[in-house]
Amino acid sequence: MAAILPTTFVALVWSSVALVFLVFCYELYVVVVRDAGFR
Amino acid sequence: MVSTTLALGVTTATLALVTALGLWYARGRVDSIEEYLTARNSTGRGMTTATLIASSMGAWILFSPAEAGAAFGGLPAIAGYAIGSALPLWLFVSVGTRIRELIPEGHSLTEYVLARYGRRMYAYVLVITVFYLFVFLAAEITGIASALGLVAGIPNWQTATLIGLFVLVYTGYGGLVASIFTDTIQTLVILPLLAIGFAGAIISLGGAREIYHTVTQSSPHLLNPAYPPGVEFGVYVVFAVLGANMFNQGQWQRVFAAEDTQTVRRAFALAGLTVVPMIFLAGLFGLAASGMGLLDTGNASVAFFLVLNRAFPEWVTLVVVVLAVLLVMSTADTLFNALASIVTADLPRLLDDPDHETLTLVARGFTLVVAIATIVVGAQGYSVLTLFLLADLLAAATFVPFLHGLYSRRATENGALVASIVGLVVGFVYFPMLREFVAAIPIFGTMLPPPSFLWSFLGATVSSGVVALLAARISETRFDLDRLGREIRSLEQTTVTDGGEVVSEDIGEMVTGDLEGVRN
Repeated sequence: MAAILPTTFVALVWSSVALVFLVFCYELYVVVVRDAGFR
Repeated sequence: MVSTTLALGVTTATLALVTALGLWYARGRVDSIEEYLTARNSTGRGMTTATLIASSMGAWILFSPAEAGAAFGGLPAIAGYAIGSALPLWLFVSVGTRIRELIPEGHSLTEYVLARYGRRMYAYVLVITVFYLFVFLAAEITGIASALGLVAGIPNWQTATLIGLFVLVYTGYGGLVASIFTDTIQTLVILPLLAIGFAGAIISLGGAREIYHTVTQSSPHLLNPAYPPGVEFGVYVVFAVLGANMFNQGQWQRVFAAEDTQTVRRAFALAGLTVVPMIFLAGLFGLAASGMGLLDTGNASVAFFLVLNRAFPEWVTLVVVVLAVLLVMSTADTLFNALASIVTADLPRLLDDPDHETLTLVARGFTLVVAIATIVVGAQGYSVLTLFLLADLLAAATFVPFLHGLYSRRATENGALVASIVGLVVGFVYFPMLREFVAAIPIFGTMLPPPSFLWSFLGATVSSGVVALLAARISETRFDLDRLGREIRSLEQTTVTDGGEVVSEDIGEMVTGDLEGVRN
C-alpha cells in the first residue's frame, strides 16, 4: 500500500488543528462563561 | 538556541505565576483531608475535562509522538500513540461510572484492591502503581530538563529543582484542589498555544502539503498507513499505555472529584477526543524532522526540538518553553498529589485513629518526599525508557484482573494473582528488554521465542484476561460488591445516628478496616 493521498494528509493536519481550537473555545465557554468562573 | 538567562527567566515567571494562582485559589478551600486528597463532587464538566487533558498531556507529548513518527513507523505509529492515549480516558467513561457507583466515598485504587481482593493483591498493585507513577514523574522531569538543556543550555539540575520546588509549594499547600485549578488554567493556555503554535509552525514549514512532499521524497514509507513496523508499534503502544493508565491514581482521584457521574462520562469522553489531535500534531514534527533530514542515529526523541531550532525564530522557541513548562507542571502536580494520596488513604489502617491534622501532615510530608526524590532523579538525566516499558508491562499483565473485580462477583484474589502472574510470564517471554536476565533462567531461558514488544504486551494483556475470566468461571465464591461502598468510607470523622442517639465513628473503623471475614 502506498502513502496516503496528499489531500487526506492535509485534511488530517488541519482538522486536528481545528479540533484542538474548538475544544479550547468550548472549555473557555464552559469554565469562564457558563460556570461563571471557578466553583 | 535561545539565551539561557532569558529561558530561565521565562521558566521561572511561568512557574511563579501558576504557583501564585494555585495558592490563591486553594486559600480557604482546603479545610479537610478529604478536600486535600479528593475534592469530592466539586468539579464541573469544564474543570474536569480541563484537568484530565492537562494531567494526561505532559511534556512527553513533545518527545514521544515525534519519535514514534520519525523512528518507529510514521503515520501508523503516531495514530497508535494517539489512540492509545485516548483509549484509557474512554475506558474510564465506563470504569469511572462503575467506581462511583460502587465506592462513592473512595479515595484511591489501592484501597479498592484491598477491599475487593485482599492484602496480597493489594501489595502487588501498590508496587505497580507507585513504580509507574514515580517513573512517569521522573520521565517528565528528565524530559523537560533535557528539552530546556537543548533549546537554551539550562543545566538539568536547575530545571529539575525549579520545577520540583514550585510545584511542591502549591501542591503541598492546596493538594488536589490547587492541582485541578491550575490544570484548568494550564489547559486554557496549552490548547490555544498548541493550536495556534502548530498552525503557525505548519505554515512556516511551507504548509501541510509541502511537509507531505518533503517526507515523500526522503522517507515515503512514513506516510504509508500500512507500514508494518509502524502498525506493530501502533498496536503494542495501545496496550502499553492503556494498562498503565488504569493504575494512574490521578485519574481515579478525578473520578471522585467530578460533581456527578454524568460529568465523569462527558469529561473523560471529551478529554479522550482532545488528546487524539494533540498527539497527532506533535507526531507530525517527527515526520517533518525526518523529511528535512535533521535526524541522526539516536536523536529521534528530540525531533520536535530539532525542527524548532532549525526553522523558527527565538520567540517561538520561548513560547514552546512556556508550553513545555505548563505541560510538565500540570502532570507533575497530579503525580505528586496522586502518590501522596495513596499513602494517606491507607494510613488509617496503619495508625491508631489518626486525626485530621495527622493525615494532612503526612500527606504534605509525603508530597515533600516525592518532590525531593523527583528533583534528585530528574536532575541526573537518566534514560528511563527501560523502566517505563517495564512498568507498562507490569500494568498490561495486571489491569484486566484488576478491573475485573469491579464487575464480577466471582473474581477472587487467587484468580487475579494467578492471572497476573501468567500475564507477566507471557509478557517476559517476549519482552525485548531485560532479556539477558530471562535467558539466564535454566531450561526456560533456552526456549525463548524471538523478542517482540507486540507479542509481549498483547500476550500479557490477553493471557491475563483469559485466565482471570476462567478463574472466575470455576470459582464458587460470590463477593457482595455492595460491601465496597460500606467498607471504603470518608477519611473524615463523621457523625451518624443510631436509633436517635448520635454516634461518632472513628476514622480507623470507617476506612476499609479489618477485612477478615467480609469476603465470602
